[in-house]
Order: sequence, then structure tokens, then C-alpha cells
Amino acid sequence: MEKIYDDYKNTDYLKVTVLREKFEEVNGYYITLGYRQIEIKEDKVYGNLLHLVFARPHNIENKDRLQYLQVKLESHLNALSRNEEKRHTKSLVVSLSIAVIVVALVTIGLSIAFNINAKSGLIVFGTILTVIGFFVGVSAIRPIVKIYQKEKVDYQVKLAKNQSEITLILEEIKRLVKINEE
Amino acid sequence: MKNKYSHKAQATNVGVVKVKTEGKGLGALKTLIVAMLILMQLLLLIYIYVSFASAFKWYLTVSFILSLITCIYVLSSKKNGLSKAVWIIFLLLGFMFSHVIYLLSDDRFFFYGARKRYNKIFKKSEKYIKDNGIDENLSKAVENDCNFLKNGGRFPICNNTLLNYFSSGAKLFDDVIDRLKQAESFIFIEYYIISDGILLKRIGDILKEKASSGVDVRIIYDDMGSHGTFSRKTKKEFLEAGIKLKPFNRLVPVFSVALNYRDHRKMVIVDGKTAYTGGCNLADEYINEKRLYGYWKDNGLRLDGQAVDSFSLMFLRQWEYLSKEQEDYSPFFNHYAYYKKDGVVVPYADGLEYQLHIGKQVYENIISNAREKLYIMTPYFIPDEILTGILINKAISGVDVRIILPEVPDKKIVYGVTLNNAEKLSELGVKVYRMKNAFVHSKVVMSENSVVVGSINIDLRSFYQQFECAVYSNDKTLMGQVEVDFNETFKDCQEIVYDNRRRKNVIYRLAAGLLQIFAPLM
Repeated sequence: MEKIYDDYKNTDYLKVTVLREKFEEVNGYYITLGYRQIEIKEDKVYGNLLHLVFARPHNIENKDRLQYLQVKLESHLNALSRNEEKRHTKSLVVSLSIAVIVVALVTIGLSIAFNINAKSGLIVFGTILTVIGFFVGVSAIRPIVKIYQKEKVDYQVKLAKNQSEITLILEEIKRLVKINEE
Repeated sequence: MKNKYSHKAQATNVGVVKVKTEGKGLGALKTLIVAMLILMQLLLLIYIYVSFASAFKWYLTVSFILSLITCIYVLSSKKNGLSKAVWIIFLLLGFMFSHVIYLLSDDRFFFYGARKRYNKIFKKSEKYIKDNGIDENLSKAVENDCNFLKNGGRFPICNNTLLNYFSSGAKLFDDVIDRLKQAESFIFIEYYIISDGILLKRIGDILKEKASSGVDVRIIYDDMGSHGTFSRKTKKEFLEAGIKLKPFNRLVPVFSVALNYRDHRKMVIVDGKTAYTGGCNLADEYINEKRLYGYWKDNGLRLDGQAVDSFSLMFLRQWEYLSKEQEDYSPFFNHYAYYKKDGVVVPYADGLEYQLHIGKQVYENIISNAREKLYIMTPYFIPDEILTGILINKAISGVDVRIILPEVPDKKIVYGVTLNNAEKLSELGVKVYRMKNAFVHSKVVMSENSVVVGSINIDLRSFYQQFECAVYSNDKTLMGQVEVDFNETFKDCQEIVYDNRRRKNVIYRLAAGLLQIFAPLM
């Protein structure tokens, strides 16, 4: 069983693993939620992870709503991070796939075309392959650029939505915590 | 914070923040071992049977005929349509052994002895039932519901009971803890899941203190539900403090269909004056101090007054069944305070000890009597064809039918079936919502006439296999509180929109059909 802290009757404890580079930001969010940080530990294996423990009084006003907003906030933070990472995934995958096909076509075509011992028919075939390879490569540039630009716009919209949700959540949290303090 | 460990490995795909949750550890391993042993026994049984059938060729013919006869028997049984279809497929495909497995699973056979014992206990304890009768001023719908509960399950119709609804597990258990501190004579607790953690520590401290000072503390827990979570160490501490524990239907590594039947009830009774029920089990995730599936949305109900005796009776009957010890129930009754309240309050139970499927039929009655609105909150939505038909009928007739489901599932396959069913209904006018970032565990059904709060999910397990409990009432205060909970929850929900293109996709329809085969097991 996980460690149970001494004041478990009157205090709620929260254990969280955070990306090191986001520590200050996330720490701030939990403080906004009414928590105070009581422990911070490095991960034994991964250098970019920190383990935090927060505490908050058990009896607070608007607790259910704050717990729900906390989950929403965490979910949107993680979604924001995922969307930032995936921003150019599709265009990258398409580019790489086409690049592999082009390189393969050109390489095979050239190796056949410049083979001294090859028959004339094969040389023609090799030349055609090379030309096709170049043609595919050149034709693919425009669609890839379009995919890249569309992805950029789509993810900008998603990131903006994530960010605005986070802002709204934080506003509501601050409002509720202010009510609690009053 | 300075990174002294930049030379260490860097974790990827971890997101920005992750709330730490506890692993199942050894408990999960033990469950896996038990499951493997049961599977091996089942395979051995099938192998022996098939070998026998192969050795005696005439037996193949006899097996097929027996399976056909069993199919006809299934068709004439009281099972719901989906279960019948699944059983018939199984009986025909596995005709060499399937009829034997069907016989083993029929509760008229394997539950025969247990039902006899329950009947004895029920008969002996009927004298404790005090019924106020049905007030002639009740609406016809409520009068019919009360008649059903009274005649179908012998549940007393109570009045003079204060009801207080909690829209979260945290609120419920804070109240339970405060009330337990005032206990003087007895505490009865019955949960499907009891789990080590902060909540059990808070409650356990009080229970140990009370038991040591002479309060009669009894706990019933489901052995499968609490498996791996209610540790031996904690049980030992409880027993040493004088708390009595009884597991329901022990999880044993022996193939038995009876293992599928679980005690899903949730109740706390204090001094015969206060009772609690609802959707919550005794575990940290129910109060959101442990994160499993997003925000855990749950509910609870507190009763003070005459209706508490009904819960005491439910508990004592179950206790007598499990302990096999007879006792005089009278010291546990008539301790409640008198409250002048008009609303009817009918605590009721469901399980194999009852001939009728009380939980399902109460829901069917409420839904079919609805004329204006029908609000439902449930974690799983696997209704049979009757309930589905009534819901569609109501929606098409103009009744405001709304169902709240979770957005975050706990069991992906069950969730797949739930969403599939929900989408079908949303096409026909039922408004289905998913609470964002949350696992909705509340089980509540409300119309303009009445409300039910309890442990009964809208799925085939709750309707046909599990022991359940709930409270039926037309109390206006309670209905107002429940309506507020629904209205607040709707604000955090997103409506499911019927996706015509997805539903016409062949692969999707095949997958949905396959999932439905397993629906009776979910």
C-alpha cells in the first residue's frame, strides 16, 4: 500500500509525476487549486521526471467542483503537450515515405541503367524508373507542402482551443478559491 | 529546478503531468492465477467430454439431440432475448458439451440449495416487516410502483423518512464518517468493493474504536469485488479489534458458474437510525483521492427514519445466509426517530433469492410511466430489448429522455457495447450525453413521478446476476436534489450525435455485433 501521511484525517494528499521543464508551471497550477507542495523527488531512472506530493485541507468549500476542474486541467495540459508533439507528424510520415520510394526508384533505375552488362532493353527500363522516381519526387513536393500547411493550421486551432480551455478552467478555479478564501 | 541528472535517460510519451495511482500488485497476479486455473478446468472438462463423445460415436448423435432439446428449453425460458440468442449459438456450435455447461449455469440447479435457505430466512424474518400501506392520495404511477414492490418482493412501503442526496462520493463519505463517530449500538456495512487506502483508514479507525468499545460492527464484502484490494493485513486488524467480517461468494480456483454471481450492494446502517446507500463503494477512487478513470462522478443517499429498518432487514438476512447462524433480529429494529414526511420511501433489494427481476422491472415501470421527463445516469448502458423499446417509445412520444454516460471508460469492451447501444437510441430521439473527463458511476433513474437511487446499473449483470439494493421514492425534496445534480452535470456533458456514416460501415457493424454476443456476460 502507498504511504499514508500522518494527518490523513484532515488533509488530502496528491502525488503527481511532472515533466521537469514544466515543473514551475504545473506547481503554480496546483497552488492555485489550493494545494501546497510538501515533497519533491527526482525520478530514479528518468532525468526529465519529477515526483511531487501536494497537500490540501480535507474540508474545503466547492471541493467537488475543484476536483473536477483539476482533472480537466490535467487532461488539457497533457492534450496540449500531445498536440505540440504531433504537430507535423502526418507531413513527416508522408515525406519520409515518398522519399524512400523516390530514393528506391532512382537508385534501382540508375543501377540498372548504368550497368555495363545490361541489355539495351533493361537500360531503357532503368532510365524510365529513374525518370519516374524524379517525377514522383518533384510532383510530391506541392502536396506535401499543402499537407504541412493544413496540419499547421489544424494544430494551431487545436492548441489554441486547449489553451483557451486551460485559461477558462484556471479562471473558474481562481473564482472558486477566492470564494473559499472569503 | 537545476537538472543534476541530465545524463540520465529521458522519459518520452509521459505527457506533462500524471497523477500517481496505486497498482494492483500481488492481487492482480492472484486473480490471473485463479482465472487460469478455472480456464484449465473448463478446457479439461471439454476435453474429457469430447474424448468420450469421440470414443462412442453414437454419443455424438445423442449430444446433438440433447443440445437441440436444450435450445428449445432456452427458447421457452424467462431469459431475455439477447441471452437466449447467445446461448442458442453456443449450444449449437459446441453441441458436444454445451448442454452440460448450460445445465451447470442454470440457477434453478446450482442455486437450488441456496434458494431454499434464503426462503427459510425470508419466512422466518417476515414478522419484522412493517408496512404502512399505500396512501390513496398517491398518483396512479407511484401507487402501481408501490404495489409492485410490495407484492413482487414483499418490500414494506415506508413514510416518515428524511432523505438527503449526495451528488458525490466525497460528500457522502464525509457524512458517513461523521455519523459513524456517533454510533452507539451497531454498525452494519455491506459493499461490493472494500479497498485499502485513505478512506478505509479513516473509516477503519472509527470502526476499530467502536468495536473495541462494544458496538456490534459487521461487514459483508464481495470476495471478487474486494479481491486484491481488501488486504489480509487489514482484515486481520479488523478481526483483532472485534469487527466481524463475512465474504460473499468466495473466489475459489474451481470452475463454477456461481462465481459470476456477486454481491453488488452498497449500504451502511448505523444504530438502526440512519442508513446510506448509492453508487459508491468503499475505496479512494470514489472520493477522488485516487485517480483511475478521470473524475469519478458518483452519488449517495442518506435515510433517517422508518425506512432504515428495511436496510437492517436486508443486511441481517444476508448475514444469516453467510454466517449460517440464526439470531433474533428484534434488537436491531424500531430505533429510528419519527419524522413527519409524506413521501413514500421503499428500500428494496434484488438478487437470486427473488423470483422476479425486481431491479429491472422497477426501472421498466418508472420509464413506462414517464409522461414528461426521464433522466438516467448510469456507468454502463446494456439494456435488454424490452427496456430499449420502452425508451425509444418514450422519446418518440415526446418525453424528454436523457441519459448521462461516462466519457472515460473503466472497461473498454463494455464501453464499446454501451456506446453502440447509446448511438442506436440517439438516432431515435433519446438524448445521450457523456460527462467530459469523467467516469460516471452514479446509478439513478428519475421521472416526474419518482426516483430510484441505488446500486443497480442498466446492464444485464445488475438485472440478472448480481445482488443489488436501491431506494424508490416520490419525495419532492429528494427529487429536487437529484434534478439539481442532473442539471449541474449536463453543463459538463457533451451530447452524442448519431453518426450515420460510421454505423453503415461494414466492419463497424460486424464489430458491434460481435460485442453484443458478449453483452450478457458484461
